[in-house]
Amino acid sequence: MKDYFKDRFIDTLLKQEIGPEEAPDVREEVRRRFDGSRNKRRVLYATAAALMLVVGAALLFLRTGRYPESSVTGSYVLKEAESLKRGALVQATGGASISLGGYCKIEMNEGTMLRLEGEPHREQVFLHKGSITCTVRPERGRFSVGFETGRIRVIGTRFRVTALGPEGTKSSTRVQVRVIKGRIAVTGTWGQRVLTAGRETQFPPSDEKEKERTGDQEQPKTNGPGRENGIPDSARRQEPDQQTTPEGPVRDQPDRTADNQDSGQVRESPEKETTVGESPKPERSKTEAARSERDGAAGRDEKPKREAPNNIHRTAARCQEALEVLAAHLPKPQRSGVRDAAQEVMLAEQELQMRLKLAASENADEAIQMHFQHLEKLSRSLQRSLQRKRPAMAWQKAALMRATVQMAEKQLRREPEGQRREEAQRRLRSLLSRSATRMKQLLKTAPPELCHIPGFVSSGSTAESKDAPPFGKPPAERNNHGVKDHRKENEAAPNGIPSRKGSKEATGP
Amino acid sequence: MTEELDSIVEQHQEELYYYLRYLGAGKNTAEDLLQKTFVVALKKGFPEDVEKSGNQIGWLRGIARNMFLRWCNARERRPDLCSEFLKVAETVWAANYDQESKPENIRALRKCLEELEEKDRKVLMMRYREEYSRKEMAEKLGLTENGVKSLLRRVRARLLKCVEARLLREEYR
Repeated sequence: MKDYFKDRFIDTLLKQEIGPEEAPDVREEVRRRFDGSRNKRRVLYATAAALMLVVGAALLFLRTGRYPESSVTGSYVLKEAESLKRGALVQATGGASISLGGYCKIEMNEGTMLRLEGEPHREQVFLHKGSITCTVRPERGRFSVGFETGRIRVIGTRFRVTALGPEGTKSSTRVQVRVIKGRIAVTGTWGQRVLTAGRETQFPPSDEKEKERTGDQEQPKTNGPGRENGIPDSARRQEPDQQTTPEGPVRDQPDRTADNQDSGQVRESPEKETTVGESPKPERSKTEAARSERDGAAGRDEKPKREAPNNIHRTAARCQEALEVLAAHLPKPQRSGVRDAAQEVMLAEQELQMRLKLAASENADEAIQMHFQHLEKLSRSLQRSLQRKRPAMAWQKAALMRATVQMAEKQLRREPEGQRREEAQRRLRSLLSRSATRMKQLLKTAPPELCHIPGFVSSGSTAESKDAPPFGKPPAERNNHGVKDHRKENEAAPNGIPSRKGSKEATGP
Repeated sequence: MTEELDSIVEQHQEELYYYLRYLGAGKNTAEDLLQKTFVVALKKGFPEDVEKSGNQIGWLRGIARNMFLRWCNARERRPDLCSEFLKVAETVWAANYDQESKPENIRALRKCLEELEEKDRKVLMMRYREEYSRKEMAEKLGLTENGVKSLLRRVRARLLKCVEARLLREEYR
């Protein structure tokens, strides 16, 4: 290799001596490069700074500039503002839907009135009256619903808020909150409570309302003027109508079981046991008298250990809720969802039976009252199912009614003979007769495709007679899934109408 | 600063250029590496010992060698060959082409060129003065390209032998 480089060396000398090739003058270029390298670092720093500025500006623009504007669709009226902006009062004249910030969707029922508040990424509405269902994507921002006595803060959820007060007043002093999905936190003068999916509770809780009614002067700690814990001063204002007439079929009974599970802070108020369809006050006095007789003299002034009507109402409400939730979640009820719905209702039925048994063991008279109310309610619900052409659902409700009737009968048999038992039997018969007549009318007017519903008498007056079962055939045999098999009955009735062959197996009054 | 820079570049650019050419860099590559060598040297600044000893060319040649090594490594599939190659090349260059021996080498080369046969001198002139390619020389001389390559190597070997003998004679004179 050394010889090679010696050859290269001579080669280089020859190029230098003979050839025209000369070493270039690189002074200018070196100077330019040297100066350029010194400026290069400065340019680099300047470029990096400019880039950071551009990125920062872009982020700022994305965060603020592109924030979606609020929009509303449906039938509504704007008050106190010409456009849908913060501070505007929106009243739904029909169904309406509001989108806030691209992450909150509020569905308003007819008559609902709310005010838009908050700021970008911290959307807030104030519910004056009516009912709203909120669907929120919490990763995009915060959302809360204010009402007269508190505020509901979203932790990631879909929920419904219903103002319970009468129309024409600021009615959100008391609200009913139902969590469909996720979690919410409700804050108010009573403190804070977190509700999870499936919970439905009224706010303020019972003891808070009790304080307000009795003029309790005890005030919670305040965070500042105007509002306390985000609650307006008007939270303490009382509306006479509301104090005396709580309304709604399931609304005015707080969930003692749920409350205990949630926080254990809310106690049930005996004053709020009234529900729609409940017996009038004389009946109630009678019930209390019967309870006093059983509990003895010492129990007159004491709160009963178990309050059966509440539990039954709760169960009824949960049954109804389960049906609603299932109906809302089933994509196509006419397909496979029907079987799932049937199973769910079966579970609800079992739970109801258990509750009825418990109630019966405590206070038979009160339990019978609850049977009446529940049967009335089921009858209305069944009518709705038929109108909506949901035969499977209707059939399940009929089964539920049958179970209720059986329990009521059982309860009656346990009662000692006397005027009270006769009176109860008379009422029960009357109720069952009315129900059976209504079923017959429904089936006559129902579309032909609904006539295969088992468990109903399609014609004749069997249901009205004392010896016949009130609802025709007994339930069909159940399969492994707890769902009754309709096929056998349909086979027995080629025209789709079940025969009366098996009706003797049912228990009637 | 500008005068100092110009002075350094002017003083060493020729030798560094031919050194890079000797290592095997082409004209453009040698010029580019030469500029980079000076920029790096000016950025770093001459070390104190270099300033004291005055061996600036040796330090600059080291930078140029590293520049060439980097360039060679980027081209070669086996970078270790570049490193081995440079070691030997540096040894030969350092033994024959220092500042003191350069004029003698040039003088001896000129004498030897005069002593060469006309045919050999003509071949060298075609290659280095006229800058003919091997292909062109092969066409003119009626040889193959490999024949031209061998011929040039033989002429250069005779020339090298002549130069070394002349330098040796002058040393003992």
